[in-house]
Amino acid sequence: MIKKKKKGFSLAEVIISIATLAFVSGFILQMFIVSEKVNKKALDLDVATSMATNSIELFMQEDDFEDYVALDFLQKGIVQIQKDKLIVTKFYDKNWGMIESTLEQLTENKLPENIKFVLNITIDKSKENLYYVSKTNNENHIEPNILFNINANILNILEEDIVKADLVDFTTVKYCKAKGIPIK
Amino acid sequence: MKIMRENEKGATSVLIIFMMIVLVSLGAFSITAANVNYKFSKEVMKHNKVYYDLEQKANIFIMDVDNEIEKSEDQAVDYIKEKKYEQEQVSGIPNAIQILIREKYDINNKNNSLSEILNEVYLYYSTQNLLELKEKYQDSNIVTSLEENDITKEKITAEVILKSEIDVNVNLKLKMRVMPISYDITDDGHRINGEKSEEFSRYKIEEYNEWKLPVEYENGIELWEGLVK
Repeated sequence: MIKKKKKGFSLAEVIISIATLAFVSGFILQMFIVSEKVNKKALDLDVATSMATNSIELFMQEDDFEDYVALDFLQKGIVQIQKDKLIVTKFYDKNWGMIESTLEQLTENKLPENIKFVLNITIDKSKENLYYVSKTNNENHIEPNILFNINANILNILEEDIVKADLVDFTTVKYCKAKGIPIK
Repeated sequence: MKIMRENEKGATSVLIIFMMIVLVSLGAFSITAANVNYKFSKEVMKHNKVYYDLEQKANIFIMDVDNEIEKSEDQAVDYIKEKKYEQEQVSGIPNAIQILIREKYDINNKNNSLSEILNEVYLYYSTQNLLELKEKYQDSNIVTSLEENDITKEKITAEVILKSEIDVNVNLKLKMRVMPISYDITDDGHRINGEKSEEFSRYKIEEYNEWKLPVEYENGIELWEGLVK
């Protein structure tokens, strides 16, 4: 009588296979985790690039230095106006959600902890070598040519060592003819 | 077939090995795709950087050209105000051109002829002043072309090739044309009055073209962190 051969896997085989799979899948999962992190890095870089370029273009549209302050874009951000400079600072969390903050928080170093990205925009017209005074029509009216230096950079606050590093940094100059602005 | 049926030991190992190969392949593919994605993002950022770098240089060039032609406009206005067209010789203007200008002056049609003279002098000074930019812009080309020896049909263009410091392979070609100015000039016999007849632009940008030189690859192509030859 021929004994019918049993089909299927033995218990030992199944246990060994599951153990091997469990052991190896740890390394395999690491690959997916790394790839997810790299993808997030790429996404952050894309968003940072887009935000920096958008803000530069937005400021390039305005003709007068004083008009910048009225921009809706500056809502919820910190705006500092110095003599010839306008500095805008905006904060974002890890998902690029806007975090409201005040100048007091910034000066007292009491900013919210969930800040991950900082957008800094500096509009500078103070560089004297950028002034090209064309002519003086009369004593009271001067028509200078002005180059505004617009810089937008996004800092990435690294969680590990809390070091501020530039994610993106763009600088451009805007040529405009400003009328009636007194020049030294 | 019979042999295989007799011995089915290790079948699960084969399945597990197959599964692991699939998973490792997928993982490797995923990492490579993410890495390429990140590389492209960096490329986009670099391209934007180059764009703004070139735009910055272009803005400064436009401003320099505008300053020079604005200076020319002032010189031309002074020329008319001081009635230099009546003189035989004027310092800074070659005699041949001065003769042409004097011929243009029509006493019976003072206002129109003075407007024409203003433009002629303006274009002449523009050419001279723009040549001064050659020192600053080595790759610039100031071109003037005379049509039918008529100074009023003169076409003046300032052309420059700007190079980015971030990526030396990317260039920007900028070509500007000096446009005629429009003044209403009246001469009442005692005094010459001139007003800008309408809002006009002193220059026109004819070409603003960014291009990248073809990249010559070396023997190896950089791939991720390794070098494939």
